[in-house]
Amino acid sequence: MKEVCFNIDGTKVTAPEGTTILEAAKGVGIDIPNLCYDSRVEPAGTCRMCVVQIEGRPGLTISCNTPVAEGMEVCTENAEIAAIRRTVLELILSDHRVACTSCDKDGACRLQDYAYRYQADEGRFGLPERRPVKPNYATNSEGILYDPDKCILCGLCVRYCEEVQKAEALTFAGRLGQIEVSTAFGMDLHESTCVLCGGCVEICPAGSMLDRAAIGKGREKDLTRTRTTCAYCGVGCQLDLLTDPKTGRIVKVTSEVGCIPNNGNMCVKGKFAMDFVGSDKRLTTPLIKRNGKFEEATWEEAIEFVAERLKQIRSEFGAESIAGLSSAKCTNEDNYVFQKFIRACIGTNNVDHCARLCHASTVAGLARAFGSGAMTNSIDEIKDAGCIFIIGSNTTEAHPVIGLYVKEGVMKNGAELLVADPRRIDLARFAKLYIAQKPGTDVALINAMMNVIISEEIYDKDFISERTEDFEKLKPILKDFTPEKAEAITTIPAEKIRAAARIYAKADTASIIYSMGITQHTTGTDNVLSLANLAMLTGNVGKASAGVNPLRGQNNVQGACDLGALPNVYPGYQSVEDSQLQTKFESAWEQKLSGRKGLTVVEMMHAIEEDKIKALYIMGENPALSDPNLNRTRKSLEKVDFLVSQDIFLSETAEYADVVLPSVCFAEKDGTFTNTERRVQRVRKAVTPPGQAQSDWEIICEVATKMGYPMAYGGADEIMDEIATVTPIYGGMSFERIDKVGLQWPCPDKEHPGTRFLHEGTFKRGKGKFHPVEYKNPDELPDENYPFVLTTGRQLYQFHTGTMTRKSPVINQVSPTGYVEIHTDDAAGLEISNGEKVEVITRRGKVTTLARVTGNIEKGWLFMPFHFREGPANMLTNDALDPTAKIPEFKVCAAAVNKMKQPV
Amino acid sequence: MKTFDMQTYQNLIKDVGGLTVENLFVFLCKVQETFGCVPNEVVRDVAMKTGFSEARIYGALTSYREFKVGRECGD
Amino acid sequence: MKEIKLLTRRVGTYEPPDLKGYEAQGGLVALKKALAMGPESVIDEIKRAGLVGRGGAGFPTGPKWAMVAGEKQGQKYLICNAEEGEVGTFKDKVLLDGDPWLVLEGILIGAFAVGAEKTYIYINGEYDQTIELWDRLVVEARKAGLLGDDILGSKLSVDLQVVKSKGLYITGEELALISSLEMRRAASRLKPPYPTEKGLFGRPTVVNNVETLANVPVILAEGVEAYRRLGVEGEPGTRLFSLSGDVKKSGVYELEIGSGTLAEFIEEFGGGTAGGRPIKAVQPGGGTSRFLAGDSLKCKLTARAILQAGSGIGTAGVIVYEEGKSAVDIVKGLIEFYGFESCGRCAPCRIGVVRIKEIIDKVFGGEGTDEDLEQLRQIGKACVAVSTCGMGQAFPLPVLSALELFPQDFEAAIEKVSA
Ligand SMILES: Cc1cc2nc3c(=O)[nH]c(=O)nc-3n(C[C@H](O)[C@H](O)[C@H](O)COP(=O)(O)O)c2cc1C
Ligand code: SF4
Ligand code: SF4
Ligand code: SF4
Ligand code: FES
Repeated sequence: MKEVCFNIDGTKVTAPEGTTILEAAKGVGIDIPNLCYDSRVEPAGTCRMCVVQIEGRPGLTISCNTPVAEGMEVCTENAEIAAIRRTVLELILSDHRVACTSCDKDGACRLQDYAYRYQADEGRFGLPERRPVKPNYATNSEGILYDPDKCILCGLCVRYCEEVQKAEALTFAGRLGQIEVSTAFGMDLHESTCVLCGGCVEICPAGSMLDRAAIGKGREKDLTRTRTTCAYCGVGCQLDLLTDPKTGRIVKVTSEVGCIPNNGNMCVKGKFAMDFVGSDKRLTTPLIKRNGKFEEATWEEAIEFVAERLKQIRSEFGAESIAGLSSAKCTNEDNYVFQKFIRACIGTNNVDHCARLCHASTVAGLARAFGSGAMTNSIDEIKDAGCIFIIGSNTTEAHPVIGLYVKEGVMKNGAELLVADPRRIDLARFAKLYIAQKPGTDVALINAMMNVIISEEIYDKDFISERTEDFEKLKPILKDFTPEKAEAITTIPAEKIRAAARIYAKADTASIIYSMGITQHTTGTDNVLSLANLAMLTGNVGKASAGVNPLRGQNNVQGACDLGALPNVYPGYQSVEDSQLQTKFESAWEQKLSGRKGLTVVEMMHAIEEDKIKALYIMGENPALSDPNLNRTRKSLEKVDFLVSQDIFLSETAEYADVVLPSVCFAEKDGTFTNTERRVQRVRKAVTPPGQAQSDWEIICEVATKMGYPMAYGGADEIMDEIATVTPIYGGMSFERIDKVGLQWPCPDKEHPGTRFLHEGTFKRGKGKFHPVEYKNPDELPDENYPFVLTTGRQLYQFHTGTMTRKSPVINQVSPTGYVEIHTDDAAGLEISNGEKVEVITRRGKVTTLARVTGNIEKGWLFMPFHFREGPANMLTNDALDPTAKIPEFKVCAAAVNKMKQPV
Repeated sequence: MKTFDMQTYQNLIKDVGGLTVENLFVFLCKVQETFGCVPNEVVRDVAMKTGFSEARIYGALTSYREFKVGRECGD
Repeated sequence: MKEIKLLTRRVGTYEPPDLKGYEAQGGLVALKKALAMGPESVIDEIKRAGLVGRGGAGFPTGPKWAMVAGEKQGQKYLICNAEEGEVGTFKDKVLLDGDPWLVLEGILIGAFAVGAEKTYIYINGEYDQTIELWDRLVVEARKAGLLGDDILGSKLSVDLQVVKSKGLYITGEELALISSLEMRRAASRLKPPYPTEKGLFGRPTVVNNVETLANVPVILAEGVEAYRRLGVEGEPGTRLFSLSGDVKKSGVYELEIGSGTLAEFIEEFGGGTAGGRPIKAVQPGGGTSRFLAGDSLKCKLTARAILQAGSGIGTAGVIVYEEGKSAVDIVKGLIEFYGFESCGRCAPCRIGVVRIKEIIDKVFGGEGTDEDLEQLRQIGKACVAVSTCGMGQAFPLPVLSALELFPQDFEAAIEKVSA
């Protein structure tokens, strides 16, 4: 971009063309007062505080909407400007109930700051009349408070909601004298299109919008601010936890504009669902089950007990009879220590975690095609893509902040959005083309798209010949896979498949985004391979704003995989079956290791049935709700001889345990998470843990030591230093380097700047490899008895099994319970009305839940979120596995739905 | 002034030759003239048909003295 | 001084919407010429004629059109601004009622020149009969092949939508008008972008005043040279002056620009002041223009001369105030109207207009102080200096100029109580 040179208050400054005067001034440390500016929204120029004088222009000009120009001379303040600013402030104050004495915002309020700076007299033009107290749109909101008496009508909240979040929940309503922020019809916020991102509260420059729960709990200036990484999804938003130093509790959560990767944006979970941290349901002491009842125990007793039982089982049945489930919720350091404990102390590779249930097929597929299973590109590249192809990802619900980048790409940068999803997800609103494939038919769709791309010769011949292999093997399989053939399988009209193929192939840069809609199938690996084929066919790998981008669900799935919480690889995807690597780790860990790969999650459960696994050590996971075919899983948990659950709550799984060990949550520990774009980021301790809870790695170290394999670290940073020595992709990581901004792996050494996108110039595995993929039906198809296709997934407001989110009153208000989505016509046929109780039945189980009748799902399909213990979708799901990745088919099964018999 | 009914409303849509973004303002003026207010269900319907948000249309209506909406409309 | 009937020559000679009466007197000649000339030449002619907008801001019309014509792709719009909400201004109504075909011909030529297929006329909601007339006019025009496709057998397609405004002063401001048509709040918005870049629905849009557009067919029919012979250097043509206030005869008069002085105009056309008292002050450019008094009234009726005298020609709505009334009363009357008309978008205007109204009420009620007068000056100055649109920039002007010209009136009002 062209740089322009100009003058601000006599200082020579250069800035890229198009920069506004306000931003350029900010860049050189001059704070031009502003009350309606935020870098994330378009300027609106409503406060008029930012006026400056430009040499040669008559009068004053607002700086937030004026780009700098070559040779421009700007004066940001003189006596005249200062006087006008003061008058404008005094006007604003004459219309704003000054209540700094009791306002949460005191000390962190732009209005207050400027009033002080210009010594504005709040009573100069009279004090505002107080409006009669009447309910407004937020009166009944658990999350947000809106005080029209304090509102300065800058419009930032409305613009944020409209331009950034695109929820369009807010507006100004009323005429001069009565203008205030409102929803449509003034309806309650939680009934509007609001998604409770909290962006409006965050952006408010005065104390007009506040976190309701934080009122009176501490002024911002009195609170302690701790920067950390969000514990919910894989986006890895940087959050600031504001805690009261007196009570040690989290008062509220904010985020800073400019931070990576979320630029101050959050979703409802990061913003409003931290109540779990201070919940009185937290585990505070170790528990040992005696005579079927949990009894409190000391740490010594508990550790002793666990160590003894594990030793006993190992000596009786061998190391392979013990298995461990590590956790995508825990830090990299916890995961490293856990898998080291299982491998070096116990002596088996039976370690896995819930990534098996979400992205095992990604890791398997992308590793084969490209040589690395990670997201190829970075989050902020998405907004610059020419085409964004979203398939099997309900991005705005499961990865809301990435959803914002997608919307920005479309609305601001003109990206063409292609959405393929069985459900009309919210992003379909922004799509150039939306197509609904029948669940489980993704391979057919993608093969047909490739058929079109090849027959219309819009593929990248140079890329294929220079950078890939086995293209010839791909061709024959695609030859007959015409859009017409795919139409019969997917139900998508052939013409739309053609259009989709063209949009994708013709874009300069096309970025594929997918998630569990692709991976959780018996054909999960095939699906992933197909997407890899598509990307290579069009040369969309190894460059910015392109690639194949699996979005990781849990905050640290990426890290748990990276650090070897997988049965087949050591940290850094180093195979346990490679004897050289085995030797390397044996010498690093000073212990003989098993060269046999271990069992995966669902295999472990099945092995318990077969008496092959006797003890299971579970750290921070809840398979009793998250795994498929729950009845079967729960039987296994019941059956296993010895079950340890190390968790922050007494989860559904912990109920089955023999010993429960209380651990600390993300807000109570130091460490790192690796987000979905491979960025290793700091987790920092903000509050003291409840009772005797200890951090996961400390507990594990104690158990290991007790079992005779001494493990000890001075702190999480020391663990990271050890990780760096044995894990080449993390070779350059250290707490010091990632203190301010995270670092993206591969980062092999201390000088390496990290990697924004993978496979530049050459693939990790050398050449990209095409894999011809045949279409296969899902494991279970609808039939006479089970006529519906049931698919499961997530919902914005809840996370995973709800143990964390369901502690938040804000969330309980909008998402009190589970439901099943059913098409309007199907519902009519079964005489089911919206909100009515229904029964959903599959070959594996039956649950009762509420019907949500909608036009957003195709006829014949059902959708259930899986977060709710009172209507657990996973009672119904199929545990048939993908043969390669062993991922279960959560996304498709045959089901029936019935109206509940009315009580007579 | 008539009380709101669907038939009259549909006829109004016909009168303006079908609802579009370009004639939305004129159309809502007609709704106001005909029914003495713009009922919430009309706001919802035109929002759905034009792709504008309900909040935007509602907020806009409240900025004119002559449009009656929401509570003023008995909703 | 003599009236010169250039734009108004057909007014009263035929019964609109009768088209024959219009055609019989040279109507549609300009449109046919324009179709033959092609859009670029039309714009060149308007530029050469030196036409500037008559809606208040005085922006040159030719260059405005050229900007919109410059965008070659996609939908473009032309809007005829017939809100005519300014105090003391009622000249557009004369054309809208008396020679609507002239205005429509101007709209069509404008649409042709800039390439707009869709046009609107946004008419003041209180002009009930005008709106009825225009509804009928559109029907007639469709019948006559003057609206719709293939206008006059050419390739030109133009549609016109008649919009009855909702009685808000601010919707006369072009961006507020556009927002209104987009079913947004009746409020102005930030510029840039200007309507010519991102106007209605984000597309390039021409907004022109009724009188501006009525000039267009005249220029093309009479020829640029003939047109430029009228008026003064830099300000060719005629203007429609609305005359009101304390005069014997109010009305709309078309005058050659610069043909006499403000004082002469009031004397000759208004028949002097209503009460026969001397003139105290005059607003030459509508209710938001500064007052002129004394010798300044001898300024010529040109934009430049009025500016030099200390005011602005604005909408050419001349409002006369005779001696006997306090400036405080006069200003109170004005602010009674403007005090409710801010769109509320930007802080200084939204709050300033209310505070100024309160203070004037207080001063009028005899409870004012010196500090109040100082506050009026400060708030007024701040609004003028930093408001977004012409509303906030202009409503304080009469207040500020009254304080300058008639300080004794304000002083007297303040001392009423203390005395
Ligand atoms: C508060 C306000 C009210 C206005 N009202 C009118 C109006 O009623 N009619 C009009 O033609 N222009 C009005 N204008 C001027 C328009 O914004 C715009 O400049 C004009 O319509 C452009 O047309 P022209 O170039 O032909 O003059 C108003 C401006 C402001 C700031
Ligand atoms: S919380 Fe987010 S979605 Fe809801 S009103 Fe505020 S900005 Fe809009
Ligand atoms: S609530 Fe805050 S952000 Fe919204 S308009 Fe009022 S002052 Fe601005
Ligand atoms: S100056 Fe007044 S009318 Fe114009 S945008 Fe600002 S608030 Fe609205
Ligand atoms: S920051 Fe520029 S006008 Fe408010």
